[in-house]
Amino acid sequence: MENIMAIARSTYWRHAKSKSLYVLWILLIILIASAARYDILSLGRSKVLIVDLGLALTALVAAGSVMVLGMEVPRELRQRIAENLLSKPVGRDQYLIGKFVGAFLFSLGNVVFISVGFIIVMLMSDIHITDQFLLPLIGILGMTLILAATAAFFGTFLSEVPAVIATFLVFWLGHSTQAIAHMADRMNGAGHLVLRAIYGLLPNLNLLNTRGDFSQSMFSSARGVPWSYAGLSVAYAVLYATVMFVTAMLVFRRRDL
Amino acid sequence: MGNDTVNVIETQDLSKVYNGGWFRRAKAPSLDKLNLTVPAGKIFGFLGPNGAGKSTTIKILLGLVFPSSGSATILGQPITNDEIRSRIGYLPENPAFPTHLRAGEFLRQMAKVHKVAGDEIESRVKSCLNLVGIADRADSAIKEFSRGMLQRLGIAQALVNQPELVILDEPLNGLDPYGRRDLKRIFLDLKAQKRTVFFSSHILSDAEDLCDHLTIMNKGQRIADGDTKHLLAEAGGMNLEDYFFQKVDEDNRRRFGAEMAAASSQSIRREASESAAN
Repeated sequence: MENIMAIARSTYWRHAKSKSLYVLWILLIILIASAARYDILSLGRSKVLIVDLGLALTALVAAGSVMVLGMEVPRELRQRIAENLLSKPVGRDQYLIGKFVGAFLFSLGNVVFISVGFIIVMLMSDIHITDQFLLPLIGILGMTLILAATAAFFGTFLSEVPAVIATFLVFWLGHSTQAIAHMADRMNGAGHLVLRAIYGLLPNLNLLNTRGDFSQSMFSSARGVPWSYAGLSVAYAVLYATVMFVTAMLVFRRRDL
Repeated sequence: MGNDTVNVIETQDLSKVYNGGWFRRAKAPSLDKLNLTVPAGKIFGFLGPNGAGKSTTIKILLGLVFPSSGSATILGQPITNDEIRSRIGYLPENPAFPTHLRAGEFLRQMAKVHKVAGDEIESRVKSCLNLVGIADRADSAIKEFSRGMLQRLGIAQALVNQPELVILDEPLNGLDPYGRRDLKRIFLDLKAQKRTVFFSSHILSDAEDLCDHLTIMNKGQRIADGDTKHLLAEAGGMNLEDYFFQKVDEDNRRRFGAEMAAASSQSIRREASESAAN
């Protein structure tokens, strides 16, 4: 456990020490706040715009920051930092878990920071915040968990850039699973089978996307998603991430470094 | 510090074939049935030209690369045992370390990974930094280090757990003459403490000065092995550099001759079968 936490801490601080990160945070919060200036352009719906933009940017920051894990493992393998560490009494599983925890905590820290800035902007814009605000954030963390495991998986056998591209494709296609299913239904033969297989293998990130429901429920009489839905979607995220991460560990255990 | 085991490293028919290419079909043999014994308490030189299989052997011993066949033990334990590595120090070839850390911070992390007792960590870190001559750079960020400084830091981290066996892959690379002199002194100090030093190198003059025992590798096979003085005396008192070139050239000629003979016998068989068919 000590080894895992040492690796996680090192991974977290390596990225958290980046000065450009703080500039990015401030710019994003300014961007969310600037939505209040678009009252005319949004036909009086600037509050909806603030909430939509804030949640979308929080999700993007979470996804982007967790993708560093896709680069982290191949980079350390290429630079022989991992070789040195794994020549010590550190198991390969411990190394990978440490990297995963570090990247997830880094992403979590970013989500917390952006969310705090977002809440301040909402309070300044007289947007009433309820505990329902936690629901889309829980969905974002579930998505982050899946993407962290996916990035770890690709990072165990691909080099840096292909691993990040593959993780990004999962993020993108994972939000388009319904479209893939429709396309599969329109096709015959091998095309149908391939698309169905892709549909089956990809995580359904739409299940974790309750951002639209939340902003609808805030400014209309529409009901938001129930808490039980959030619980089930998080359970799905944990299950998918576990399967993905165990596969990553199995691949990494067999790999020559 | 003493070693209960007589040989700290033993390998039996250790082989490694790397699979490359898109479909992992291309075979690149790197080690071929290597039998190696490294006696305890000695300075052991592991020599050979590029591509001889030195780094592959070291990586197999440390569990970083999996052998295709054969077996190996290190400090009397199978190489699959992760915990045995707390008694080993390792310096990789061209080492790189986390650049966001400071030198002292990095060594403290390595000491923790080796489960060095909390109250001992600071003194170990200080003594290791002193030993390699970078005590004044303990608070410097690793990203500011030159190649030689990184090599010194790498040696420090390999010694922070006071290992029984130190494995160094090209430790003399990147060191200036002062660094090489300091490293030789460290090797001799380790030997005086009955620790084993196993290192690979291309710098043959240093290896000749230091090594009690050496193995020369070529194309994945051991071509010479024994007590350094004994080997050189047997070869008519030549120096290690001449001995090394003689052995490697001989082996290359033998291989080339064997390849030519095989090619020629194949061609004779093909011609014979063609004439039989006609």
